[in-house]
Amino acid sequence: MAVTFTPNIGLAKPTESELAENWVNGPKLDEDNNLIIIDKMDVNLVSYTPTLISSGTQPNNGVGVEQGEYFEVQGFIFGLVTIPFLDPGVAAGTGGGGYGIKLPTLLDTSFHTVGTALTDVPGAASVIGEAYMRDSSSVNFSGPAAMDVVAVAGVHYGRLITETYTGKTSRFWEPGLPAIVATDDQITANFFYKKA
Amino acid sequence: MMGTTVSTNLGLIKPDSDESIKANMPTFAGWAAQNTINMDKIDALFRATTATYTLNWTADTTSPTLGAGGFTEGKFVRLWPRMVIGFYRINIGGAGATAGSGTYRFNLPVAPATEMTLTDDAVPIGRALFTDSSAVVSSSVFLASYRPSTGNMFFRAPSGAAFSDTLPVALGQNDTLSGYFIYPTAAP
Repeated sequence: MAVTFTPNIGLAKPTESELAENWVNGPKLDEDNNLIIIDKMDVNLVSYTPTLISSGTQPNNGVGVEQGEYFEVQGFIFGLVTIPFLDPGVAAGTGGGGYGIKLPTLLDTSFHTVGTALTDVPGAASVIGEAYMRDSSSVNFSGPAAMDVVAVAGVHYGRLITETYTGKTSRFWEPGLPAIVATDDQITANFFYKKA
Repeated sequence: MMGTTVSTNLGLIKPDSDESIKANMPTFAGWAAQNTINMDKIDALFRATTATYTLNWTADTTSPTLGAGGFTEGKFVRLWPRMVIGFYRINIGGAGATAGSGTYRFNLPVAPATEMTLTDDAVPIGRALFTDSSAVVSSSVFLASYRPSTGNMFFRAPSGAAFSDTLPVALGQNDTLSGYFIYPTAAP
């Protein structure tokens, strides 16, 4: 039997003779169609750890628990992360360029443009999301950011690019800028992209 | 009586118990044909074909001109299939670039749903980052918005001003913009 299937999710389209012959018992027929549809519609959230990195001494968010969740629809990843900073143990780390927030999967580099280092000048890489940076001690240094993406050692990370603010001297959220991260600071972000 | 009804949203064929056992006949489709129609409709909801589109960079008064190495790039996908997600990048380029004049406009690959035209101002549809190649302080994050009156996308800087040849700064060589949009469209 050579049942034909739909191109995207492989639903069975038996002919009349195939239907009469084996609709109930054959593979990829009525029950499988239903299971495929249910599987594609019932998308589960997956947890992951959005590790924060810098290009020098690594930052530490203390006893704050970073959380990431994402789901996948037809090869596209939709996710969100929260990175709280909570003493004891908060440290900004060191290094030029932006902080990197680990993404749950690699991006499709034939569709997106991925930077090559945390120090890349923004603008060339794809923007895949947005964030809110909360500085618990300063309204001026709290605000929205855009997320682009760079590769570090074969892993893809989101960087937060800050908007204009008074005294802005760095294009990124990075160690020490716009302010040194401290307890009760928090990063929340969402993103979506085509996965590899 | 026997026959078929159709589901509300997708128009999937729902045969009654008599209709469901009919064979294909010249005068009506049997279940095999009906099932094929149903499966194709459901399958089409899950297409996620990516595509490129020509991103046109224009302005209210005079459109900018790309210089050496300048480019515009637009890519998008339709999911479910009424949700459109797009990613775009532009670089004004070097020698020969001109900034034009007026508020900048950019086309979208697919017309937004008519429900998005109910405002007389603009609908936020995404984010973009603007990189001033010659200054950090004026590099910023923009709100990407759809303007129903022109059918185009434009950008607002944190000050609220629209992105133009002079705002947030005079556009210079090799300045760039990279961003995304997400919005519903009308026809599947």
